[in-house]
Amino acid sequence: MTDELPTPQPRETLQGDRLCAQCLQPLVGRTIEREPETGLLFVRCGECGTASALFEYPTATPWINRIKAVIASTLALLLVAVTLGVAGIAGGFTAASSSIAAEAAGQALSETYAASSASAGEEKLGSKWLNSNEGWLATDEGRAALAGARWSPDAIASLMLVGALATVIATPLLLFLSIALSRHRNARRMLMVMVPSLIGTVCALALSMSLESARWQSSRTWASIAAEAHLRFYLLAGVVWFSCVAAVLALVGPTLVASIARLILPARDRGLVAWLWEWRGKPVPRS
Amino acid sequence: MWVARCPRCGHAARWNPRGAREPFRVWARTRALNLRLGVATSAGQAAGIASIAIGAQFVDQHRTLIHFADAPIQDRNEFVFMYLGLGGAAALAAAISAVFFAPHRSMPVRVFLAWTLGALPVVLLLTLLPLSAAAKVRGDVAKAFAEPGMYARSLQLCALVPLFSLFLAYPIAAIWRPIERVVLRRHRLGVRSNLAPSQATPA
Repeated sequence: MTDELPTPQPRETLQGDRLCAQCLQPLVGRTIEREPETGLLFVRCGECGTASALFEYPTATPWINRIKAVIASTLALLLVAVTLGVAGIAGGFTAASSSIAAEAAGQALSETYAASSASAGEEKLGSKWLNSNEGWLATDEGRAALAGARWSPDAIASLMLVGALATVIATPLLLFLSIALSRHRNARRMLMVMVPSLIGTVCALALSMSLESARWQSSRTWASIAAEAHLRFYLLAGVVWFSCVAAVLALVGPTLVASIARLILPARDRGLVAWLWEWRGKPVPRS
Repeated sequence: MWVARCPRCGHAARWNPRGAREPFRVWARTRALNLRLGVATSAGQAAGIASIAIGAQFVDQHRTLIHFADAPIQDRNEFVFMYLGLGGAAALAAAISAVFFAPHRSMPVRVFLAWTLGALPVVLLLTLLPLSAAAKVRGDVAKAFAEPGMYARSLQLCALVPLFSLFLAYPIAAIWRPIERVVLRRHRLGVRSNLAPSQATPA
């Protein structure tokens, strides 16, 4: 009779990447053991000896990761939509405000002409809708009236009010962009937030100028003369205004939103929007 | 280490209480926050809309506003009735908004938040829209504000509304606090009664 020793069964080892929960030592290659009382499979860390269970509940982690991926892709799509929205709002409102202001300047020019011809006892030769009086426009008085029409209260009020409305509408979108880019340094963030509004306003400038110039050639009304003289100025004012608004909001946006979040949220809830501070390399305020 | 064991087959697995609770905790907090801020901003927006109506009333009845003592009694009554109605509605909405905005802050800060974050954007948007679109509206407003004393009188009356909302917010908060406590306690009891004994893991 021979005493045969039982051949040792090759035991399974851990294959995947897994870290010890205690000391973060990689557990790959460690022997899988079974806890005799519960039958729980575990591996023991080679460094600190901590047992890490192989099966763990809840097993929601993959679903949480999938949800995170869905949220991230939704945010990316939203970012594209917001960028297009900023360009559209900046361009559309710049074109609209310039056009309204040019119209108001034409009205002011026509009224000045009417007042001038009435005081001179002449018969009125032109009105807003009819052909203008080119002869009067060539005089010093006409030239001064045309130059003054640019700053007529109605034109400036239209320009400012439509610009202010566009700013109110665009502000949340610009804040969203500035927060999304808050990981970047100030100068780069400013540039990146300014680009959509700049593209929008410059497109509006080019499109308005080409459309209006066709109108100037076809008819010579007071409105078209005022537009020819002042539209470019109003459009450029829009470009400068939107660029400034975008630059300022890009600069102060993340700080402003973080301050509002700090005001509104109690300390324990700030963890939900911790990225507002973490992306800027700052600790979440606890007070 | 917490171990969960299947009552049928005996399979054991590590139970991660933090991992199990955290998503629900985040979800519950987000939901509570969303509800609170939703009520706060909606009420603030209502205050903004009522404020626009007050502004429109001032422009429409600017002569009664400036020369109140000399105005006919019928105009005066109408003006006071409208102002108290609209101002009261705006103040009430702002006070409700303040009660729900940032409960950990002092009441003046909460009223300030209700007016700036809730009402101001609506006021700006809905005021600028007709002003920029219609020259007639612009003309009417300019004509009303060209009258001497219009700015001072309208500012005084407009400033009274946020002040009134501040005084209104204190009693509303005092009434709301016990209601909230009872509702939350009932909710918690309801959640606990639906929990299985095994789910009542220690914190």
